Amino acid sequence: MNAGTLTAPPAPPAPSDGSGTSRVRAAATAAAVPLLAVMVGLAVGAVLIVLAGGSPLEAYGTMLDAALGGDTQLGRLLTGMTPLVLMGLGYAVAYRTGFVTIGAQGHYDVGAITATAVVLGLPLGSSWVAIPVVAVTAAAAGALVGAVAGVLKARLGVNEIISSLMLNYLVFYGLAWAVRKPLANPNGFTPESERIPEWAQLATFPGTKIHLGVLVAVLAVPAVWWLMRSTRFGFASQVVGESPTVAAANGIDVARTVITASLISGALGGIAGAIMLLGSEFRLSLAISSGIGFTAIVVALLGRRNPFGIVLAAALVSGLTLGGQAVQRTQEIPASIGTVVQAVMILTVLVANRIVERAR
Amino acid sequence: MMTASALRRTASDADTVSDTDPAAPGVVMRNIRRAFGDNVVLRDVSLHVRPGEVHALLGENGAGKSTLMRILTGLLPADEGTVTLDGAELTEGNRNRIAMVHQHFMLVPNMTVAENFLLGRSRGIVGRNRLRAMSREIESLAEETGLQCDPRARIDSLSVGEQQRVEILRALHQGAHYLLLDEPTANLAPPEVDALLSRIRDLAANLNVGIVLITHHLEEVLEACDRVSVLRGGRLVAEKAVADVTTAELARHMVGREVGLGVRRAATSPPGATALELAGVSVPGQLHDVNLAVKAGELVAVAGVEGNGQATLEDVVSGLAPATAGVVRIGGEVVERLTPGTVRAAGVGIVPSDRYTRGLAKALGIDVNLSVDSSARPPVARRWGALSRKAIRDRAVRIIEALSVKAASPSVPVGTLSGGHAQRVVLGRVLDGEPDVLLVAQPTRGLDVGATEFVWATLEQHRARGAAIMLISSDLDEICSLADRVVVLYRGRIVAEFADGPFDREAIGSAMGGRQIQENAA
Repeated sequence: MNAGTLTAPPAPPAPSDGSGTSRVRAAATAAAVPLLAVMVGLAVGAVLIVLAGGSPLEAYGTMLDAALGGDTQLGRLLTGMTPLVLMGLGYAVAYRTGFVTIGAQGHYDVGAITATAVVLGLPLGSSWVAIPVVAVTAAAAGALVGAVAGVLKARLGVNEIISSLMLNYLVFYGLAWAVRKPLANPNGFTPESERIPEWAQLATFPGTKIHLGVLVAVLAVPAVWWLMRSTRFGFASQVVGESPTVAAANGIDVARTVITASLISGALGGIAGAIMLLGSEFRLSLAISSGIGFTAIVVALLGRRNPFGIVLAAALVSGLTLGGQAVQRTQEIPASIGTVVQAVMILTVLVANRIVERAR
Repeated sequence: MMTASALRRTASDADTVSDTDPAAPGVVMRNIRRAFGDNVVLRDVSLHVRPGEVHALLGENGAGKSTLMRILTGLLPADEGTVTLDGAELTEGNRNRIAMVHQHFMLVPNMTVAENFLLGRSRGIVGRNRLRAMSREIESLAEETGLQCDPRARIDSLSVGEQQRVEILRALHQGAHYLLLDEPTANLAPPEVDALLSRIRDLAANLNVGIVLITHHLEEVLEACDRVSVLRGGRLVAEKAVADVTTAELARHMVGREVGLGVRRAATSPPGATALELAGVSVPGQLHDVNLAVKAGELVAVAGVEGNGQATLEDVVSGLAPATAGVVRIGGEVVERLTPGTVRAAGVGIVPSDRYTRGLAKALGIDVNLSVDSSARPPVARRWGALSRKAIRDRAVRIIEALSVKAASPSVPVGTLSGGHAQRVVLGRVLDGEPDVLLVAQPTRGLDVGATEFVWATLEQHRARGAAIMLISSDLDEICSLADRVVVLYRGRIVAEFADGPFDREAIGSAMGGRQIQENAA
């Protein structure tokens, strides 16, 4: 969870619209940097695999197979992508207003805590009731944590990078307390909650591991795309993000825009945490706070903060993680090579963005 | 070769280009060419600055003045051509004989004048003795040049004009025989301008210093300079003795066409009802009991030099800074809470003085910038927080067309436009709704002659349509060309009022500089 390297780069403004060839060219330019990053990352990975005594071709073949090789693998890939996509979208929404939050991990943790508390604590009894209630409460809890940093920034000018990072710790230790005291499993040996009942678990599509949460992410992508592109909030975000003084002088409420963005990004993180708990983890433990919120920032940066780019980036990052595990199992090559490849990709994006900017 | 270049010169519209002998005394730049990629910014430019002369360098924004000066100071190599200094090639050894005084001063604000002089010139600890010695040197140099200066004063306690004198003195102290002054009068009050220009003349006459004066103000050229070179589109289009030219001729050279500097005013119908009124507006330490009324179809100029309260006045009327006392009435109604939103809703259009921190977000497209103030209203705003991208685009296309903004597409980032075209975007946005009241602050600051003319004509057109315009400006030409009435703001108070032109420029200038003149031509 190398948070230090993950603060956002001031990426060049992606050329907005335009028509015909200029549009194609803009899309090509936007895609060039991530593609370069993928290639450099894979090349560095290949060198490391050779050093570890393996064959890059074989290893990457295994990785590809682990990510896309069958229904089970695809299901794992999609469920793994879901929280990354949701939190990546949250990061992108906030970043657009110039609000560089790294609080996704905290939003996610608080979402998972809330989901556990609601499901174990309230006599809901049926998934038809439980799922909407959990969705609303987890989103609200995430939004609340997100808004703390948002309000501090909007009203007092407190640096959101620091405040959101510190909030992550607060929430994490809240989690550590919850799994030992109020939500602790009386029969467990490690700090964890009871397993959530069957009725609260997310339904899966027949014959697959793909659960309902995947559908939420699938709907969230176009929704966020529309929010950024075709709403007053999206318009205001863009102006506030580029120049708060211009926004203020022209009657755009800067504080409201920033706070709204922090609420949205928090809510998306909260939902991601709830989905992971009800769909994959089924019990609250310290392991749930695994740094996935920081990986989501990686995803947002690789995807250039474009909703559809985030989906591609999430697939790549998720695939590398799954692939890394598979390679470790079959070829005794450390799974961390997958993580190294991710890190190299991000560094390449940062460097390439700067070079593109300077060339302009 | 010689004939070819002679032919080219006859073919160009240059009046004269001095056939400069590289061995001649002075700074001689010959046939300078410089390109950035495909973009040729200087073509075959020659410039000869003699010792003891004040040489004006004129040109619109982008004509190549600053590139030429950067080549002269060694910040940039030329692609072709030669530069000689008193007959010798320009090298690191003699480059310190040429010094540039920038528009933004290169002084450390929390140090004294003497400490600034010692910066970068002394190794080890600067003791009291060295400071004292330096102070004495500065004093004697100040005496010799007539540039008054207290070596013990901290830079941040000095006015802009005083800091400028420090810069010039420092350049001379470091051995400069040639001074390049980049728009030295841009931020000065008229009396300070006069003082500076006469000091510049003295330096040239008494100390034989060669001076290049870059300026936008044509009167200054006639007043202070011996010769003038005009650049247009990277070419030298005129080099003349000042005695042989008029301002109109210089303006024509700069823009390549006849500009009616000054505005043809539509027949003035009597002004209508009061549309904007400030009553007893005060902000502690900034504005004191400002009373001002602007009628429909009237342009009232608030003249004043920077730092005398116009910025605060602009902020108050824009709704960006609260007044502690007084009221603002728009269309006869008191606006209870002034915010950028309420002011606009009351029908005020605002052209801010700070084009890029308040007017335009550089990285965003023209289309987005044209809608920043109207995203909450139809047709851009639609139900449930949605907005119409088509409305944004239509609006952009319409305004770009109406104001002839030079742009490849409506989504081009505003930061890629020239200053003049960027200001067109601001004007287009503000004037699109034909607001009843206009607050216009420093609308032509940093713009060239052509762009200035456009802005003035546009403002006059809207005054004639019946808008009440409050113009905050430090530019006397602008004020005298546009205003029906002039008030002067000095240290936060209105100290003078002039009604009905033609205006007495001297009197307005003195009032801007703080000379109390009670004049009432009404």
